[in-house]
Amino acid sequence: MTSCAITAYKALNGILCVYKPSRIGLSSISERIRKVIAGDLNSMETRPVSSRVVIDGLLSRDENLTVRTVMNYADHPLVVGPRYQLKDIRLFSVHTLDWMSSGVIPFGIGASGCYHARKLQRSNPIRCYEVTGRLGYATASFDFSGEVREKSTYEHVTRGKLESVLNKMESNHQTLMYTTAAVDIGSQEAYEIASKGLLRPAHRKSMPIIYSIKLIEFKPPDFTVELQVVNEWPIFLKRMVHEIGIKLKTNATCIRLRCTRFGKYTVDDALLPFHIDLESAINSLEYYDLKQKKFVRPVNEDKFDDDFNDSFEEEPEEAMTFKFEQDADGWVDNDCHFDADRI
Amino acid sequence: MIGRCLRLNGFKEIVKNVSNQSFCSSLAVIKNNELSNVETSQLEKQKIIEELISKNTDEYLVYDKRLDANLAPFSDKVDLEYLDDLMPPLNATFNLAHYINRMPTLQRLVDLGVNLYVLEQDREIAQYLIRLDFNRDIKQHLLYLKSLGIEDDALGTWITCNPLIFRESIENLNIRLEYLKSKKFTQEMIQMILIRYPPFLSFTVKRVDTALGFLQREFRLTGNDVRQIISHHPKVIHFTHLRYKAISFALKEVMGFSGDQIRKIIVGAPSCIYRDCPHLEKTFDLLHERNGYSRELIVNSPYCLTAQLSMLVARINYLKLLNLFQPDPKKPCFTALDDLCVVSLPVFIEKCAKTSVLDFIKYTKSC
Repeated sequence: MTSCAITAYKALNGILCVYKPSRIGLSSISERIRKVIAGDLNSMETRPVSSRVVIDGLLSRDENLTVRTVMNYADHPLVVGPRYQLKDIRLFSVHTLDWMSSGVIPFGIGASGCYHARKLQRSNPIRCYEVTGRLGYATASFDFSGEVREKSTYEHVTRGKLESVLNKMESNHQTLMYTTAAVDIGSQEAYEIASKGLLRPAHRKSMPIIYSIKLIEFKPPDFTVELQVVNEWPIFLKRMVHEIGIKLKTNATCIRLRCTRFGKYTVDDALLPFHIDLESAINSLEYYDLKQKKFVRPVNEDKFDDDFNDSFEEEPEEAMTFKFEQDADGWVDNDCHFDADRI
Repeated sequence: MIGRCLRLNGFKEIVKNVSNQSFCSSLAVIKNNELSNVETSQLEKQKIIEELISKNTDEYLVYDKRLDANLAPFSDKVDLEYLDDLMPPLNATFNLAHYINRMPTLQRLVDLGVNLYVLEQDREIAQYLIRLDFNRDIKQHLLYLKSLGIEDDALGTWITCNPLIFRESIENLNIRLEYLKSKKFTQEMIQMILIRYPPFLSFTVKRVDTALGFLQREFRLTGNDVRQIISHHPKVIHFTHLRYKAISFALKEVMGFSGDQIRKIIVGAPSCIYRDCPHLEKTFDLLHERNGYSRELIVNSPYCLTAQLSMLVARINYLKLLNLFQPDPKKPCFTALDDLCVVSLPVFIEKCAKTSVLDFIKYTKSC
């Protein structure tokens, strides 16, 4: 890294992938990224204070006029504010997730980064979600934060019944694919589009389409479903879990909503918001290369991980695999602050 | 119609008068080079003006040609002092940067390290700073602050925190310090208070006395306890008795601590008073009700009540996943409360979880 803030600011152009934890708003994350990056830039070598020309000497006392340059106080950082302010760092979030859901969100940073982020948003890639539902009760807001409105038994639900319900939903949505593509199913045109690959909706904001539903885990009362979706929004997915519960003749509530993939951006690329600083942001940034005409990662791709290992601990050879935490429901946290050191 | 005409006439007169007035004021500034000439010409002008005043009873003067006899456009007589003072006018602005190159007082404040950018967000403070004069208002206070033990580098940030210190007279400040001395605060304690909380000097003696009295009575503290709390956390003074009462109610009635335990908590972690009551109740609910830490353990390490909830939840859930979580001190593999809230992340993972930081990051990404 250079110590010059101007080169670092110019390097901040591209797409940064962030993992949003649950129980934290999206605006507080973008605020934090702005604050940290602006603070880091200001701690580096910034533009020196400019000078101004002063003409000295009193005419009434017959003195010679002297011309000299002095420091321009109007340009001092203590007077006009720090060189890099929060509004100087442009951020554009491609994806929106609500307060309770967690997952991958690509952010565009800088002018060209925001431009390409908008392009990415317009291209409408497929998102992959992991949704965990709990059988037995329904709430007002379809997730754990609302009041409980209904309770029912769920002993009669088996894995087979759940899978049959999910398959019906999937087949219904697959017929929707052709209607949103604005072609007749029996026509030659539909065959040609389908032979190329996945059928995409013709217009971006048409209606949500679920391409596939897969049951990953079934431990009553909890079940986890993997979805490949386009044009969705968080409440749509929560309502879908609610409908699954009704079709199974009980109630179901969404207790976890996690976006694992946005287009080509996966969880492994993403940075946690309390580990973001200027160096890690620049090292994991994807910038647009004009020669190759595609998004490229910087050459020192593994530098961040190496530094991280050296500073803390050696990485074990076998990475551990984790199951998803299921005991975290019912606990609501209204204060969502980050702390860089602790967590 | 008549009223309108009258108004128009009056308006014209006012315009004439105003233009004359401004003209006269500029005449007063511009003088001749030679002193004798100046005096004579000024005397003449004054006579003319007095004549005009005696003729007209109005407060505005009427324009007279004799007044600008010396002001021919191509005359050689130029007033040099007027030229020295000539500079563009100061317009209304949104920040102090527009004025600062003409204001030596503000420049010296910037040299000290005062952050004017922060101070000018409050408009009243910005207007107050403009009127200050370094030798008249600031110098004595700076010397006084230095004599109290505040270092030169810290002066700038100190004044940034408390810019209204220049309003108080030094006698008043002395009285406030003598009050602290009368309450048996040592010199080191007073220095610590001033360095940690600059606005302390702006509180009146009455306000400080009531706050200290309420603090002592509400939590049943001894004099030494109060001195220790105030010297380490002088910001406690900022809160009124309502906050003290709310905190003691939450600790006593909601959480069920006894009087002696409350005293220990407040002495051990005075930052409880900064935090709002719902936060304390949530952390207590998480630690005691959900995870089974006893009240005695919480009293012994009271800082856990002010820790961040998201951090506590992440660490407890991570330990539960690894089957390493044990809130009972009598059983082996006990996880202390200090490890959960005080210790930094790498130490916590090395000591309690016995894995690596990268695994913890992977875990936080999976939930």
